[in-house]
Amino acid sequence: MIKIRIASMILAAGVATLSAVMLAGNALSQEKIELVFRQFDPPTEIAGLIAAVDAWNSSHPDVQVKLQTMTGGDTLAQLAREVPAGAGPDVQQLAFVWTRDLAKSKLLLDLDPLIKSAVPGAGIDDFLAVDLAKLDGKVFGVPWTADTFSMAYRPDLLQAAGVEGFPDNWQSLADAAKKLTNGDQYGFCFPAGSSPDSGMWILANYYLWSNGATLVNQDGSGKWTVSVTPEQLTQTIDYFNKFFVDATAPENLITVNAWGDPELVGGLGRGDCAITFFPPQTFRAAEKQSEKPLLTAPIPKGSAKRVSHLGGRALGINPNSKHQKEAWEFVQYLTGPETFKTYNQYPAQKSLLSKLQFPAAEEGYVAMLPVAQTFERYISSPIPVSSMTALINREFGAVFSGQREPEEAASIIIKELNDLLARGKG
Amino acid sequence: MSATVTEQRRAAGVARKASASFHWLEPYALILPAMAVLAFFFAGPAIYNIALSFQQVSLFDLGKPNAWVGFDNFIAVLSGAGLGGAFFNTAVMQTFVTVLLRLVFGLALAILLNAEVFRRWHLGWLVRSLVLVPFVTPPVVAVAAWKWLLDPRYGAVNQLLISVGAIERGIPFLSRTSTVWGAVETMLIWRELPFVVITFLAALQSIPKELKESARIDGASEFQIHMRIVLPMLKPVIAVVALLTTIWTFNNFVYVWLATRGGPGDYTQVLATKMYTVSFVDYRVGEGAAIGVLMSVIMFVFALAYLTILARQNRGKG
Repeated sequence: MIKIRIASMILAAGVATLSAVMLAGNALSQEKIELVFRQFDPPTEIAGLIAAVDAWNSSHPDVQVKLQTMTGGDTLAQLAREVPAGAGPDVQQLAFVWTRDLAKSKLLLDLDPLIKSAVPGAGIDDFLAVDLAKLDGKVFGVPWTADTFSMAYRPDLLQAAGVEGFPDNWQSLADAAKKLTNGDQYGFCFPAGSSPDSGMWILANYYLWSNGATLVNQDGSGKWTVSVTPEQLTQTIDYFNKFFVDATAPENLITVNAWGDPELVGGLGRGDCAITFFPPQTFRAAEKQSEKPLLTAPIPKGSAKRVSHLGGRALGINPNSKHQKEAWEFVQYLTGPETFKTYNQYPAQKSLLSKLQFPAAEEGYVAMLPVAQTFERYISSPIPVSSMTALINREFGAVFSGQREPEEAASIIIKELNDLLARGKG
Repeated sequence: MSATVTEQRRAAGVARKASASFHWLEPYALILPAMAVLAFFFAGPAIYNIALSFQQVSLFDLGKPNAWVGFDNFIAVLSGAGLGGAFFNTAVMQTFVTVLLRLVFGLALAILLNAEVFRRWHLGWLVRSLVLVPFVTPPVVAVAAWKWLLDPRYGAVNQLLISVGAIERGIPFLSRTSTVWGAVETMLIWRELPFVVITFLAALQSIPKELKESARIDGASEFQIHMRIVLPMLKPVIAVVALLTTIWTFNNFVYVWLATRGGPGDYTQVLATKMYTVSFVDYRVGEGAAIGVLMSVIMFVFALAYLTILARQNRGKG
């Protein structure tokens, strides 16, 4: 009898404990929110971002953020597959050029109501390149980081070769490259790969823009046309091809697509390359690997102007997110000053950027940021920017590897741009 | 009492008849789960891909109702620039060359590994394991390793060529049109050869020793034994290996994509990388799906023709 009573008591206590644990667990799961934040910058560049996310998680026990990293090339396609299926991360890092395409297909949340409820920083107009994140007057992404490219070089190698001052225009860059080429040391190194995401696209446009050309343009009546001439394209292709013809750039760069490739980052540090061009994060990575000090300088001037592009990252919210209010709070945190204490990027918020202290070695970026222009014209055209990028990289690569003459490649580019325009209008 | 028993017997008979009438369903019911899995995981995506190839679909409009455009995607793909080059690269440079070399090297290596000496010294397990090393290496790792080996400045291949005086400066194998296909084919063959070797080795070991021994007694040379006995007996295995490797290689995406991304220019563009570029760079998923359907049709026709020819040859002999 006593045994039965003891057993009943143990059983009752067990049931009570289990119920209490389950209730507590249930209550906790109701209170605790988990957001997924997906970004695509290389793991080597996000230590500061991880620290910022950790700081958020420490101060927000009820809204925990899980950081996901994906490769840049796959992110857009993954998002385009996930969101229509009702999935995807709550907060997504975006390249500036993606935001409008995603917004058109309703794959991003309209942020206007959230912006009205809680204004980010000093107001949405305080952010650089916010026009790229707008569609029909509505904001679908908040510009987060801004950057541009500048030339990066080894001052000791320039001095040794007798190159006084950094080359100011494209011709003087080519001349300097000849002086700097010596044995296993090359004058100018750049990503000349043919991949759809190759950095050749950036350099080709800098050269075209600085000489007053642009691939496509909208006329007064709103009609889009191919505005670059065969001569302008031939001259651009010729200019960069000459580095390979003169052997002032190593031939193996014809397969290098990323500006962060070890061939460029390590090459500058080792002294295999005297001059290259980098965005800020890559320049810092190169500085860490370099045996000698590195410096930055403005992009060379063309016949019309000196120019680079204003690139960067934006943040968008998934329309499927069940915690849009919390996601917005997190977006505000990421764009705010706390994040940039640890995250070593240039903030896209003008008021924060103006307070930033640039290291002396990064003076090239200070010179280029005010003259940088966005890819707005290309983004607004009927041709996907990625298609233009792939076409330019492919044809430049075809010339570099001797498959085509510059004139032939130029005419192919113009024909395909016309085809893409016709298709986009259709 | 007897009436009740009769009724019971009659009822049992009816039940047996009913059971017998459904008996023919049993095998179908047994294979139903397997068929359902096949339909869900294989037929489903294939049908979806075929449906996409007849629609105008942007990457950003997947899962939404899209306009049906008939054969427009196929017409656009077939009349577009670069398809002929990509087809030639796929069929000849990537598939024909590498399948042929794998069959030749695979057979030679298998015959070598089947040598009595390895069995005598109990080394068979070791050489078989070593041969499998490339096959267990993920293709991503294999291509990355080969890219390092072929690096013009620091790669072991160029260092070796320079050290023996064959060249003065390193060759950028992946940047030159004269060497890039050779480099990609080397990576592919190195990684995929073990499958051919191991399959041929298994087939070689199944050939009765008595046949070879009696041929030797009759005075046949080793060359004659291999040409008259070994090769004819391996023919069915060679046929199957050739068919499988052709289909796998024709549809392969990773080697070209990881090694060259279709470059320099579009020199190594193959149908699989073109399909990827059209779908995920140009965002024209409908056209990308059309390329996929065309690739499947080509392989289906090839397999049908290949198997028909083999069947005819066998009938001719029989």
